[in-house]
Amino acid sequence: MYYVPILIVITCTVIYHLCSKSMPKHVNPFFNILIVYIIAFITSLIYFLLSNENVGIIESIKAINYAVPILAISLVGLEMGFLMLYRIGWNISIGALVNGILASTMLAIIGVIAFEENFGVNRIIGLSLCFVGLYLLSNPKKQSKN
Amino acid sequence: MKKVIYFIPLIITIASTTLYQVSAKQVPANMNSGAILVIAYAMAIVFSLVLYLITEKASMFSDIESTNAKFQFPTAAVIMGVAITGSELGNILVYRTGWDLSIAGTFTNISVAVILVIVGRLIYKEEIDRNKLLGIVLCLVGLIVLGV
Repeated sequence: MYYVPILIVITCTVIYHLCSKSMPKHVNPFFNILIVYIIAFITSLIYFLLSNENVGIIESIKAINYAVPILAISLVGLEMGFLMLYRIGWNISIGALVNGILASTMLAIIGVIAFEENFGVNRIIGLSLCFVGLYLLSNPKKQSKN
Repeated sequence: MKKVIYFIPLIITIASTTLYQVSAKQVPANMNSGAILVIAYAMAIVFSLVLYLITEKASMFSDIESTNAKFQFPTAAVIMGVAITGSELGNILVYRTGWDLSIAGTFTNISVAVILVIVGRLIYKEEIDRNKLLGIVLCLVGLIVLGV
């Protein structure tokens, strides 16, 4: 059960990136994003109605904290960022990788500072390796325009 | 200036990914996970509708918008809508099962990056030269060490 949610995330994220790159390019990107959220809203509503968690909608609404609206804002930023990234010619392999490394680095730092997570020698070595790898990868001039 | 424009979407994406992971970890555990998604997507619809109306009014994308283009059913958007629901739901459950913020993000990023490099090569014929290959290997080793 520990690995099931992360497998769902990985599979869906791969599909998400493939769809981001296949989005129609002759329309306003926010129109695409709007369609995506309407579908996501319907899908999550179906999941909500079918799921058998013991917490109802009223209790859930009462429990909303600052993280829920921030989650919504970051979702829009995420879709907008990736759509723009692929539109201006970033490769599907490199764009996701560069984002993954830099976001992971920031998350490691935030994890240590805000959530008091462990940060040992292995994480310092890991970050250093990532930055050397990033330097080798980030030469936009050599990327093909797919 | 051109180089700055090239990196702006990346900066937006990195900031949003970080914000997204932190907020996914911080949503209350006593909320129904389906309700979190319904509420978050309702808000996201409002935010993107506002941004759509603003950018349309300002004709920000008039150079790319085509009025003559045939209507195409937005298949990619529909699949993406279902995929992001799975991704968000998975993320909320990941943090509920006790994963650390730094480890969960790293795990996802390594796996997605490896799969996308393979997919990019197979489907989009994206070039992977020796430098990029070495860069990818170093990044993956780094992410694995970081995630241990």
